[in-house]
Amino acid sequence: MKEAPAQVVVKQEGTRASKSAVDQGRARVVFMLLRQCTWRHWRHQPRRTALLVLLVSIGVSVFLSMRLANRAAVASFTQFAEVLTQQSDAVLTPRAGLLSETVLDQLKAARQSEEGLSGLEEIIPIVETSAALPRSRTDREQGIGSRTSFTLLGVDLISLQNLATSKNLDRSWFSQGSNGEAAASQEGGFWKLLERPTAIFCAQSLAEEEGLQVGSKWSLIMGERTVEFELAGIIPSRPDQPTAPKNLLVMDLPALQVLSGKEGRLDRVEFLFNRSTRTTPAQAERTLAVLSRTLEAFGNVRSPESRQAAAEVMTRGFRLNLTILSLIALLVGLYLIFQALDAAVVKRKTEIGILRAMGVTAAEVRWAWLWEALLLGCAGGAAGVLGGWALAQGTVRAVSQTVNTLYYASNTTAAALHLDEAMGAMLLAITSSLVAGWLPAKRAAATLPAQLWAQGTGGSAVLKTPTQRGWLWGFGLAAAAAVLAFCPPLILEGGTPFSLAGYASAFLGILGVGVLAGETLPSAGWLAARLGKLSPARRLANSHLRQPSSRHRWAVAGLVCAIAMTGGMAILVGSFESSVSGWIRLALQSDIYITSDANQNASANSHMAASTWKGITAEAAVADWDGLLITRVELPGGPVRLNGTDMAFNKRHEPLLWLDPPRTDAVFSADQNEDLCVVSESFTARFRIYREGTVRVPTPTGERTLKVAGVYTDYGDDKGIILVDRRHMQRWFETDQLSTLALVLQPGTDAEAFRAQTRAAYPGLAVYTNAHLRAEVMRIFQQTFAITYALEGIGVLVALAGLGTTLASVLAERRAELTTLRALGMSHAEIAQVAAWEGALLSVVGTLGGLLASAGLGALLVFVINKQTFGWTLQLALPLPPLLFLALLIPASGALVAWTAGRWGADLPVDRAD
Amino acid sequence: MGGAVFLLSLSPQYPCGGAQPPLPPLAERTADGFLVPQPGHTFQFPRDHGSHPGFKVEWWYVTGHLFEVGTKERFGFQATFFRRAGAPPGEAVKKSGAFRSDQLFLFHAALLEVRSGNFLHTERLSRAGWDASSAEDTLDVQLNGNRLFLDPAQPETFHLDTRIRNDARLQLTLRPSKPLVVFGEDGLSRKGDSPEAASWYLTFPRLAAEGQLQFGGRTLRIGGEAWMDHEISSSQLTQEQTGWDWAGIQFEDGREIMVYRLRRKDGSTDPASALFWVDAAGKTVRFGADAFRWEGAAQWRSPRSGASYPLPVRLSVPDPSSGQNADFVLEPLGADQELGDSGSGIPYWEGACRVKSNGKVVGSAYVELTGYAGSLNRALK
Repeated sequence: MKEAPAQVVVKQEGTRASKSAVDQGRARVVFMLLRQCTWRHWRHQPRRTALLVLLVSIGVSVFLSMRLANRAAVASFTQFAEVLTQQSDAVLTPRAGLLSETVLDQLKAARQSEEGLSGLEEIIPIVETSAALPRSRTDREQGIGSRTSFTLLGVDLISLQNLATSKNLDRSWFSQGSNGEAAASQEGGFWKLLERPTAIFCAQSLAEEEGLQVGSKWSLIMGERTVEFELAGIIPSRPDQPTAPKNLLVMDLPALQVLSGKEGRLDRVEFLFNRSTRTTPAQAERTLAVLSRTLEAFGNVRSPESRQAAAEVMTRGFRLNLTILSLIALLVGLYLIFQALDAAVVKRKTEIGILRAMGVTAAEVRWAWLWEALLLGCAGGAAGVLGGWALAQGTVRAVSQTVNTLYYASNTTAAALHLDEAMGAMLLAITSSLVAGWLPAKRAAATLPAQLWAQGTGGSAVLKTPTQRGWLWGFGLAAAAAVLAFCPPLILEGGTPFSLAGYASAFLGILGVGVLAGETLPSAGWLAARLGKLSPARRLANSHLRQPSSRHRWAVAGLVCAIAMTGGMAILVGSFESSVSGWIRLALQSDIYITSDANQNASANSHMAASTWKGITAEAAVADWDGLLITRVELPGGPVRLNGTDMAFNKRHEPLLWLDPPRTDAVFSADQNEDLCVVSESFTARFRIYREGTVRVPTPTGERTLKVAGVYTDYGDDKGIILVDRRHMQRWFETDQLSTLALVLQPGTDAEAFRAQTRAAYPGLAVYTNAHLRAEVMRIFQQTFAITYALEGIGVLVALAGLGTTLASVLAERRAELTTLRALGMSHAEIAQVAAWEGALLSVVGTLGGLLASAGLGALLVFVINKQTFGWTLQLALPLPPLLFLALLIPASGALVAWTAGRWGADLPVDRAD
Repeated sequence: MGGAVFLLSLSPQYPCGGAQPPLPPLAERTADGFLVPQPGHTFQFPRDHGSHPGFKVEWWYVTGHLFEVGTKERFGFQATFFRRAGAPPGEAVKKSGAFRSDQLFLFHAALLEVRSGNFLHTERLSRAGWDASSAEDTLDVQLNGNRLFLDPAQPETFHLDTRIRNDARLQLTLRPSKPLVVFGEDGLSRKGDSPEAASWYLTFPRLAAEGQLQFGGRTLRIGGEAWMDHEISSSQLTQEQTGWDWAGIQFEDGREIMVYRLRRKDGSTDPASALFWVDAAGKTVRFGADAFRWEGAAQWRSPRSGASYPLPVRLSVPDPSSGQNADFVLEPLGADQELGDSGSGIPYWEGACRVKSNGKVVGSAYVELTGYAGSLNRALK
C-alpha cells in the first residue's frame, strides 16, 4: 500500500513522457510535411505564393494605414504644456465664449486656502487664435482650407521661465538673435521683447521652410487684418524635448490679447501637477476634483485624456466608417486565401492520399495545412505592416485634411507606427489566414488513402454545396439582414451612436445575396445556352456553370461583396451629394459671403470687427444682409455650435430647410425670440431634444433656457447647431463682432466687381460669390470622400484578382479535361475562350447580384447607418454613372482576367504534379 | 543689500564706488527716467513699507533662525521678494490687468534643516498682475501664493507665508524687537560716486518670529528671531564690480552688524563698502571700507555650479562699545546653501551661520556671497 502512490506517480510520468514523445514525433512529421510538400509547392509556384502573400498584405496594409492615419489625425496637439513638456494634467475651458481673467484671482485665492490644490505646480493661462498665410497673387482662387494656417498661442513668456526651471527645459526664449546672450542682458533688451506687440516665436522647421531669421518680418492674416509679425526667436527645445509642431506660433500673452481683441480674456488655463501628485492617481484625481469644484462657475476642468477622448468622440463616426471600409480589402483577401488553400487541397489530394497511406495521421495533415496558412499570414502580415506604414504617410494627409475641414485643426502630416499596432496588424493577418485555412485544413485531413486513385475525377465535386441548402442559407441571411436593419443604434461612451445592427445587417445581407447569386449559376448557364447558336467553347463554358463547383460560387460571392460595397457607397455618396446640392441651393441664396481669411479650418473662428462689418453692410450696393456669429458652447452632452443669425432675414429669404417648421412666426422676430431657438437635425439626433423641447445654453452672462421652435436640416455640422437671434447672442456674449456676412446685392450689381472691390479694401477677408462658395462646398464634400473612393477601388481590384485566381484554380483542377480538349483538336485560343466566357458569365452574375445588393446596401447606408451615425436625413439617389461603370467594368475585366487564366491553363501538362 | 542678485544682474550698470567723501550731488532721476532716492526724505509708514514703483529696483528680504518649540530643533530660512521696473513712470506699457509689462517680481526662498543639512530652496519669476503684486500704501507683496504683508489690524506686525515647492510651507508672524533702522546719512545710503548710486535702506534688525512650519510631513510650532530689509533704489552695478559679500549679524548681547563689501575685478574691496553697528537701542555707527576686514577662512566648492566660496568668513571690525578690534568667524550651519543654480542661472551662496568669537558662539548671522560663479549678467538667458 505504501508503494501505491509511487506507482501512480511513475505511471503518470510514463504517460507524460509518452505523450511528449508523441508530440515531438508529430512536430517532426509536420515539419517534414512543410519542408517536403508545402515548401516544394511554394518553390514551384512562386508567383502564386507571392500573389497570396500580396493579397494578405494589401488587406493588412489598407486596414493598418487607416488605423495609423486615424490615430495621427486626431492626435494633434491640444495643450501648450504638452508641446514643451509632454505633460499636461488638467485644462480649464469655458462652457461658452472666453474666460475672464478674474478666474486667475479665484485660482490664486483658492490656492492659498485649499490644501487640495497644494499639488498644483504650474498654472498656464492661454490665449489662442488662428492665423493664415496671406494669399499671394498667384493663388487668388485657392480653396478654403488649402492654405497654410497656424495656431497662434499667447503664453506668459515670463512665467515660462518657471516652467523651464522646474522641468529643466531650454530657457532661451529671450536670448536669440545675432547677439544671443547679450541681447537678453542688455539694458532694455529683455523688456523690449515684452513690449514689442508683434514679436513671435515659431518652430525651427517653419523658420527653415519660410526662410525666417530672428528679426525677420512676416505677414499673416489675423481676423480681417494682415499683421506684420517680427520673428523674436525659435520655440526653444532641447534634443530630448518634444519638437514644436510647424503650425504653432507663440507670442507673449498680453500682446496676443491686444492683437486678437481678447483683452482681459483667456481661452483656457492649463495646469501641471507636481511629481508626487502626478504619480499618485488618487491624489491627481483629488486635485482635479478640487479644481473642478473651485472653477465650477467658470467652466469645465478636464484631464487631457478626457479632452483627447472628446476629440476622438467628435470624429468617431467618421473614423469608424473608414475603418470598416478598410476591412473590405482584408475580407476579400481572406476569402482569396480560403480559395487558394482549398484549391491546393484538391490539387494535392493525391499527394495527401500517398502520405496518409504511408502512415501520416489526419491530425498531422491538418497541422501542416494550418502551419501553411499561418506562414502565409506571417509573410503577408509583415509585408502588410511595412506597406501599411508607407500607405499611412499618404492617407494621413487626406484624413487630416477632412478632420481639419470638418471637425478641428489637425496639424498631422506623418503617421508613426507603434509597436502595439504593428503587432495587432500581424495578429490580424495571422488570425485571418488561420480562419481562411481552417476549412481547407479540415478537408485535407479528411482525405483518405483511397484518394490516391481518385485523380482526374474533378476534385471540386466534393466541394459542391447542396443547392437547396444554399438557397435556404441565402434567404435566411437576407431575412436576418432585413430584421437587423430595423434595430436601433448602440450608444457608445460619450454618447456617440454606433450602428452596430446596421453594419451587421449590411454584412449578412451581402453574404446572403452572395450565396443566392452562387445558387443562380446553373440557371445563368442554362439561360446562356439559349442565346442563339453557340460555339463549342461557349457551350463548354455554359456546361461548367450549369454544374458549378463551390469555387465558382465563392468567386461570385466575392464579386458580389466587392460590387455591393462599392455600389452601396456610390449610392450613399450620390444621395449625400444630391441632398447637399439641394441644401446649398436653398441655404446659399445671398450674392456675397464674407469671412476672415484666417478661417482655414473647422476650429478656426476669427471674427470681423464691428467697424469692418458695419462698413461693408453700409455700402450702397448692399440691399439686405445677415451676419452670423459662430461660437461653440459646452452642453452636458458635449460641445455644440451656437450660431447667432438675423432670424428675420431667415424669414425674408427662407434659407432654412425645415424638417419641423416653427408653428408660429415668433422665432423670426427679435422682440419675441429671446428665449427661442431652432436646432439642426443632427442636434436632435444627438441630444434627443425635439421641437417644443428646451435646451439650456451656457453663455458668459449666464445660462439661457431656450425653447426649440423648429428643426432644420444642416449638412455642415454632424454634431448639431443651435440657431438663435444674433442680437441676443451678441448681448449674451458681450461682443459686437461677427464671424461671417451674407450680403444680398442690389439688383443689377456685378457680384464679381463687388467682390474684387471688397477684397481690395479688406485684404484679410475672404470674399466669395454665391457660385464660388457653392463650388467650394462641393469641392470640400468631394474631398472628404476621396479616401472612401480609394478604399472601394482597392476592394474591387482585390475581388478581380480573386476572380483570376479562382479561374486559374478551376482550370488547374481540370487539367485532365484540358488535355482531352487539346487532344480533340481545341486550340489554345479556344481553351482561353472557354475560360473567358466562363469568367464573363461569372462576372455578369456577380455584377447583377452585386448591383442588387448595392441597392439594398445603399438604402441601408442612407436610411439606417448614416441616419444613426450622423443624424442626417438624405434623399436616396441612384448615381447612374458609377453604377453603369461597375456594370460594364466588372464583366469586361472578369472576361479579360479569365481569358488570361485560360491561356495559362491551356498550357498545363496533364502529368504535372501541380 | 541681501538677496539683490537677480535685480542687479538685470541692471548691470551699478556704479563703482570711489572714496566715500566727498560725493557729487545726486541726480533727481536716472538717465532712463527713474527716480533717485534723495536725502532728507521723511518716511511715512506704513506707506514706505510698501512699493515704490517710481524707482527701478526694490526688495523685501527676510531671514532668520528658528527653533521648534519643545525640541529646539534648528532651522534657518530666507524669503526675498524683488521688484524690478521695466519702464519708467509715464512710458506706454501695459500697466494694468492680469499680465502687466511694467514690473517684474522675483521670489527666492530657502530653508535649512540644520540637523540634517537638508537645504530646500525655490525661485519664482512673475510679471506684475494676477500672480505677483505689491501694494503702494502698505507692505503687501506677493508672488505665486507667497506673501509678506503688514497686518492692517496690528501695527508693526508682519506676516510671512511662503512655500518651497511642495516640500515645505513656512507661516510666520514677525514683530520688531527693535525699532526700524534707516542706514546711511540723512536717510540715504550712498553706494558710490555716481549721482544715481544711492538707496533708501530700511531694516528691522531684529524681529521676534513665531508660527508654524510644515515640513517632512509634520507641522512644527516654531519661534526664533528674524531680520528684515527693505531697500529702494534705481542705482546699478558697473562692469568693474564682480560681486559683493553681505552679512546681517545678530549678537546675543542685543546688538547687530550689517556689512557689505563690494568686490572689484582685481579682488580689492570697493571704497563704497561699509559696515554698520546697531546698538541695543537701534542707533547705528558706520565704518568705511578701510575700517574692517572680510576674508575667507577656507573655501567651499559647490558640487553643482563649481563656484568656490570663501567660507567660513573671518570678519575683523572695530567694536564701538570697547573701542577695540573684534574678530568674528561666521561659520555656516550647513555648507551647501547655494541658490540660483537653476532658476535665474546666477548661483550665489546665501546661508545661515553661527557667529563665533574666540571659539565661543556669540550670535547668529545670514551671509550672502555673490559673483563667485562668473558673470552676474546671465539672468533670463
